[in-house]
Amino acid sequence: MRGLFKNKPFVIMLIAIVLLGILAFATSGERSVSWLESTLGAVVQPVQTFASKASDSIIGFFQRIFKTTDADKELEQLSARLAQLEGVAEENEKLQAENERLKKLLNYSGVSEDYTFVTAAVIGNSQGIWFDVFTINAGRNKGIQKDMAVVNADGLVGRITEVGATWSKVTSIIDSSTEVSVMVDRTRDIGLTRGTLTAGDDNMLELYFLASGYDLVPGDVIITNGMGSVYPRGITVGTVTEVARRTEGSSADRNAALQPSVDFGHLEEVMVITGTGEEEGEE
Amino acid sequence: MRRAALPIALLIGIYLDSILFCRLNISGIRPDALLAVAVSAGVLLGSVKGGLLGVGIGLFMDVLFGKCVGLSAIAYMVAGAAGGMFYQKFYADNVIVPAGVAAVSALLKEHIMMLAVRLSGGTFSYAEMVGAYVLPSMLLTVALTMPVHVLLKRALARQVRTEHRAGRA
Repeated sequence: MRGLFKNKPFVIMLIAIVLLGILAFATSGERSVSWLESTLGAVVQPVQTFASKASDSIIGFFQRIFKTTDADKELEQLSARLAQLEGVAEENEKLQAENERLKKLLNYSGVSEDYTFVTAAVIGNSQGIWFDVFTINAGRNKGIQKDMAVVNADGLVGRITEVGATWSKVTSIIDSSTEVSVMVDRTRDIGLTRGTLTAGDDNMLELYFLASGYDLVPGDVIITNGMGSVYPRGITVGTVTEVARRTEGSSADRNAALQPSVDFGHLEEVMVITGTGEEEGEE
Repeated sequence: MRRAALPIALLIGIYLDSILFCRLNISGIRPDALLAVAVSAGVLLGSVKGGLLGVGIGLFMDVLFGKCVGLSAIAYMVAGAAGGMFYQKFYADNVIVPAGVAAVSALLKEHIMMLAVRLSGGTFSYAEMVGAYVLPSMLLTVALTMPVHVLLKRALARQVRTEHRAGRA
C-alpha cells in the first residue's frame, strides 16, 4: 500500500481526482459562467449548430436503412432515378416538417402575446440519462439571462441555468433535480412537479404536495402557477396519467404521475421567454 | 492525415456523444464514444497521455454539455490512465484488453454520475438503473471500443512504433 503512494503518476492522478471532485462540487450549484467557458462555447457553437442540423439527414439515413425491406433495397438499387426522386421528396418532407414546427412556434408566440420570445436551436445534449441538460445556440448576444423560462409550442421545457456569449444551457423540467410550482388547470389545486430518473426514454414527471382531499383524475392538465420568479403562469406542463392513492402520514408521497406535454426525445427548437409584453411597453 | 487522427477521432466522438446518440439510441441506451477513444489512446500512448487526453475531453464535455464541471473529467482521466497500464504490455492487435478497460471505465463513469445524481437529490432504483441502463450501455461502449481501437492503432502506428523504439533504447 505504501508502495502505491510512492508511485508518482498514481499520486498525481489521485490529487487530480480530488481537485476535479472539488471543482464538480463547486460548480454544481447556482453560478455564472466563467469567461473561459463562455469563449470555449462561443468557438464551438457554430460547429455544433451545423453538426446538429446535419444530424437530421444522418438520422434520416439510418431510419431509412432500418425501415426498408430487402426488396425495397433491391428496387432502390435498380432504379436510381426513383431513388433520386425519393431523396428530393424526403428533403421536401423534412423541410415541410421543419416548416410545420416553426409555424407552430410562431403560432404559439402569436397566441402568447403577453411574452417576448427568442427562438433557439438545440445544439447538444448532456451525455447519458443522468442529467437532462441541453445547450442552445442563443446566449447573452440575444438577451438571454439566467433563470429565464424555456418553452416550445407544446408547453414548458425548462429554465436557463448557464449563459455564455452565444450559447446557453437549459435544465429541463424532467431533470431529477428540477422542481416546478404548478396547479391543476381544472381545480386550481396547487402542487409541485419533479422530474423522475428512469432507465429508458419514457420521460415522466411526478406531482407532489397537493392539498389533502385533492380531486385529480387521469387526463387533468397541469399548468404552471406563476409562483416564484422563473416560470410565468399558465404554461402547460403535462397531463395526469396515473393518480396515486394517498397514504396516512406520508405527505411526501407523490400524488400523481404526469406525462410531460413536451416531447423531450425530439426537441429541436425552443423559445426562451425573455420578458413580458408589458416590460417591453415600459421600455 | 495520420497526425490528425486523434483530433478527428475526438471530434467524431464529441459529435456522436452530444448529438447523434442523444437522438438515435435504443430506449435511452447508448454507447460512450469518447470513453472508447480515451481508453484506446491510453493503451496506445501510455498513462500520462491517456490521462491528460481524458481530462481534456471530460472538461470540454462538462463545460459545454454537463451540469457541473469535473465529473466526466474524472471518469475520462481514469479511463485514459487505466488504458495506459497496458501500454506496451501486450500485442497491440489484441482488442480484448481495451475492451475490458472500457467496460470497467464505463461502470466507473456511470457510478460517478449516479452518485452525483443522488447527492443532488435525485431518487432512483439502483438495481433497475444498473440492469436496464448501466450494463447495456457498458456493453455498447465495449462493442464500440473494439473497432475504435483497431482504427486508432492503425492511424497511430508510426507514433506507437517510434515510442516503442525510444522505450527500448
